[in-house]
Amino acid sequence: MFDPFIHQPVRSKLLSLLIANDELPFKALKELLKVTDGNLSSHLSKLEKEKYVLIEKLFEGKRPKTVVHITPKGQEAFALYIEALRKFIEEN
Amino acid sequence: MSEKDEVLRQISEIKHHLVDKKSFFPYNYNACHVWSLIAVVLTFVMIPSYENSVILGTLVNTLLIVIGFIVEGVLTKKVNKSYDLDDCTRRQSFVMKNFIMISLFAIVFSMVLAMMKLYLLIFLLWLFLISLGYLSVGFILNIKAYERVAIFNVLSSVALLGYGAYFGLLESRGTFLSVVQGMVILGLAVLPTLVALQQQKVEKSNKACGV
Repeated sequence: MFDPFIHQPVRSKLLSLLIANDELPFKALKELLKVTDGNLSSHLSKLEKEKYVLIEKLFEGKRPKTVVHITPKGQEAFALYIEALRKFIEEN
Repeated sequence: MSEKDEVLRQISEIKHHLVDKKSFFPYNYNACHVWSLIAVVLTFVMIPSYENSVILGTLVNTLLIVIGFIVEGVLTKKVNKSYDLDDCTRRQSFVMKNFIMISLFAIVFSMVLAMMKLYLLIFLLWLFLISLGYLSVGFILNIKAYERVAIFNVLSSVALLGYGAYFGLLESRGTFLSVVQGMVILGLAVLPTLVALQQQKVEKSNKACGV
């Protein structure tokens, strides 16, 4: 019923943040979600596999930097997920 | 936890980020203390510098405001760096543009009022306009205390303007001017500083609790 890639506390919060901010650096997401590097990477790779997010690896001078963007497919899936939540509440 | 509870919890989390605007806004509240200091200095130097010459007064006004924006910019850049952000977020940019436009208008309008020696109105103008800025900041950051301070300031400036106009005190250099200056210090320095201190305390305790 619910998209299993979004229906998870960290991933739904993550997508909400990306919807509200378009893109966020990995470090900012880690701070906001209060998760470890490994945990965030694991959630992001699941979302990336579904093409819900786009992970961009950049270099700022010699320092690597990762920026996460939400894709149109991710935005659409999130909208459908919200609709599914709404429907569930109405029916229960 | 039942599925319904789980769904309600998810909705509440999403609502926090999307509807309650509890989204990302890195801010260094030390900038607020700098603005408070500038407000106090301006309150005391504005009349003497305008009396010297309107151009000098405008320059002093502009210089202090520019210093404020530079400090704010540096502090924002620093806090953004800690999140790997190169540019301002959209909200930061909105707040900054808002205050820049308000300040530009207030500087020019103050110059016009100074030419007419209506110094008291300059203070009321700044109190009113900057408070409108605080109102938008309070709304965007979802900080009710800023909204309350802003509303208090806006109402105070309107009440003082009405009182001054009714009793013919708008050109006053006596007690009424001191009351207005006191209100500016209270509304643009003391109260915002208290809110900033409160926010710094909240941030500190959130960090300590790992929230």
